[in-house]
Amino acid sequence: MPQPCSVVIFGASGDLTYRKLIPALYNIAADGDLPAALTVVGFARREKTDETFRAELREAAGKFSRSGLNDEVWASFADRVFYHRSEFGDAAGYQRLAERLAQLDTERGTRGNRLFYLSVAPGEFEGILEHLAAAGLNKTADGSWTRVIVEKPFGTDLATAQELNSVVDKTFREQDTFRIDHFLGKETAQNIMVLRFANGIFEPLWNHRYIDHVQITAAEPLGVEARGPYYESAGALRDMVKNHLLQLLCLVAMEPPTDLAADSVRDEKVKIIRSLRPMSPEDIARDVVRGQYTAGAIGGVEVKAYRTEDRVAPESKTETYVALKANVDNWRWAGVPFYIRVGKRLPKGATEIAVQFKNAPSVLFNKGAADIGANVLVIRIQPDEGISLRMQCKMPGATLRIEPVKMDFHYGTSFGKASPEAYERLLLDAMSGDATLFARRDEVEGAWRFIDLIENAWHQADNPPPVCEYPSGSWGPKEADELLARDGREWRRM
Amino acid sequence: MSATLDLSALGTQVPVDQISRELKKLWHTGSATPPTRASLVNFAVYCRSTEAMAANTELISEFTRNHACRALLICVCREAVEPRVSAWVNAHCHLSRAGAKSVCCEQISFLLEGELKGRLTNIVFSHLDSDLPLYFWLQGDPVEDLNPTLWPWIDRLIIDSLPWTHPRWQFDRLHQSLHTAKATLTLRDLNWTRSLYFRQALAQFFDAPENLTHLPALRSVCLTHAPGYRSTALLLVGWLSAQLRWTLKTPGPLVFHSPVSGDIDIQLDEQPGPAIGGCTLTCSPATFSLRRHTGERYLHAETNLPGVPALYHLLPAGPDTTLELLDEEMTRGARHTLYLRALEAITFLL
Repeated sequence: MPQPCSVVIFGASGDLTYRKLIPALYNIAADGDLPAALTVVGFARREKTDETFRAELREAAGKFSRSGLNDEVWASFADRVFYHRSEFGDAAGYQRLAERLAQLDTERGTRGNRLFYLSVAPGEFEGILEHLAAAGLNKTADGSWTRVIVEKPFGTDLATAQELNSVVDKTFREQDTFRIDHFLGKETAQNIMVLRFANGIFEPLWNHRYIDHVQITAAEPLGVEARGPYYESAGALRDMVKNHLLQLLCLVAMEPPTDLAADSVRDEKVKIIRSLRPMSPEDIARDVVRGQYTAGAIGGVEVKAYRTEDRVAPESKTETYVALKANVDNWRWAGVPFYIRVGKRLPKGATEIAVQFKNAPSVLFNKGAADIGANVLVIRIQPDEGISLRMQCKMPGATLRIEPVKMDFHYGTSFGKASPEAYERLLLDAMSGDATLFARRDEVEGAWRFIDLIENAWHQADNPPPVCEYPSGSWGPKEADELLARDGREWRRM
Repeated sequence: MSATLDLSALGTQVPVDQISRELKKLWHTGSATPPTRASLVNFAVYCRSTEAMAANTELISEFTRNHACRALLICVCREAVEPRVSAWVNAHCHLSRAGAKSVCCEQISFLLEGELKGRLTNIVFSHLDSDLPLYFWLQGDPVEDLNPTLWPWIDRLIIDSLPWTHPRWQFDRLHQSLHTAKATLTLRDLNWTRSLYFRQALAQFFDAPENLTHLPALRSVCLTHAPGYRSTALLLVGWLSAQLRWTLKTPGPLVFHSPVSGDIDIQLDEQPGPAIGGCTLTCSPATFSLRRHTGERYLHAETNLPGVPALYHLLPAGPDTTLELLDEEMTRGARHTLYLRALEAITFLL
């Protein structure tokens, strides 16, 4: 169980607080994993009292908590929740916050431990951090700690990420900085290492000799919804590939760490980031496809094109879909492409890693034109977390007919206990000071180095690759299919 | 949708965006021995009337007794003015052969009204059980253009050409559509499956070397078929033509020419009874004959060779009902090369 502390959420009126952070903290409390001496302080601009804030959070927790809402547990939890109204740029507001936290230390026994959660736009980071420092809130008394959680995106490119990291570094030590990527808190993402390194049968096969290629897909049927302005400035590459998908790639591709300490694991992930082959403009034109959704149908209902979404430029070239072929230039993965695709308005919501093994030799059952398909190990990150292995099987009967079958493991039905939400695990880890599931500075900057090459080719080249259109409800532009078809492969059917 | 139509057999009506959640609920029964969900294939059924939805659900329920699948029942009613989509989820559970476990298959049903505009494709894409093959049963006439992006996803296209009203034109349309399909797609015509056991029995006659010597003397083929089953009988003729390398000489009277046997007269007789009631090959002076009587599950095979007493034996007659035909289909993995050759031989006669 973590030590007592005060969790201060900047941007407490935001969606993330209501949908994820408070339900996560409530669930931790309901599971009995929250220390008795823990307070939550919401810091935001809007005028609210503790009571109105709690009432709003109660409604949100009832709606979004995975375990429902127990009145008794909520009452006990809500008693520890407070609201602190202030502008982010108001120095006096931080002084009052410092006084209030000190008071809570005394009254609630939070022992001077602080966890600051920056759930705000990146533009606000610097000001908040400076004000925290000015108010002395980044300092720790003997035997206590102060940490900060920074939400993605960590900058918009390498330069801004470096600048942001410098700002954070000025206020907090790297070991006290937790860059959150909620994908890493998902049970199956954590299970990737267990699958690879706690089982004897996979690791011997986990290399270029036996693996043909890897596909990492993050698909969602939603459009940009109300996030038009943000998405216009970010796009799918920065919003998803740079963070979530490269993290998943690292977990799949990394070498076994020497131990399970945070830095041992992160050292191995950084090596993968560094091994990503830099892409030239020619590589990008050939191996990266960007797309944008047009009108179509999702769930049988017609939906509109990206360019007609609320607060999206009618001539926008922002990508809502990316497919790319990445190469990891190290001994283990020589010649094994990693195909990554991410998109909005795709037919279903699913994030999965598919490790496709090489075909059986072209003799016996695989002879000639009889391509019976390869073994595929699928790690489902969300929803329906689990793992499946596709293999070939003879169908019963006198004739020799081979069809694929699946061995399927579902977290949801295999264990009596429901999987915790990603934010539950990550908040607990941050409170406990375990940074294993958080991104380190060099990891973030290395990822930007790779992504910037693509962004630059798209936005600064004289002859940028086109933005390919795809109808909403389809699996992306045909150019993405051609990307794999050129290599004699195809996207797996999800 | 007809207000009076009872669609309760489809299960629970659910919002389209809640299908996955509602499916999960099906499996959380709270029972100590929860049912086992099984799926080896995605089985999509495309129909065009709400009446067919209820009938198909009944059929799927029986089908899942032997073939674990995720069933997608899709009914398209384009004539509706307002586009609308309705969805239902259901599970078909049967005791496994061992008897201890209840094995269940999911059925998701959709009623798509109004213009499709990519909605059909999206629905198929959205609800497939990943990594498993897609068998797509296209019921009725293939007169409508399906979205070309759907074709590459289909592993096995099942049709039944029997009720087609303009088969020559409809086959032509189907061929055009198949050009966008992937190379591994297998086309299966239930009308072709109807004659499967007759074809096997005919071939079996000539497994015996003493019978095979008479095949070059084949002079006539006499086929009996039930009213409405002429195309089934013609496909059987097409199979003979493709296998024995015949070419058409005259369409009426129907005569083929064999490079080995010379001219072969084909006689098609329509009689009440099974889809195909009999087939006699006359290889003068030998005859090889198959007969099937109404209600019987066996074919009566008779071999008459000169100077030898007639030989009789029984052979299985094969599937009759749609469910039996589908059952048969699921146990077979052959490609459609021979079927297309047989079809080519008789297309102009359809």
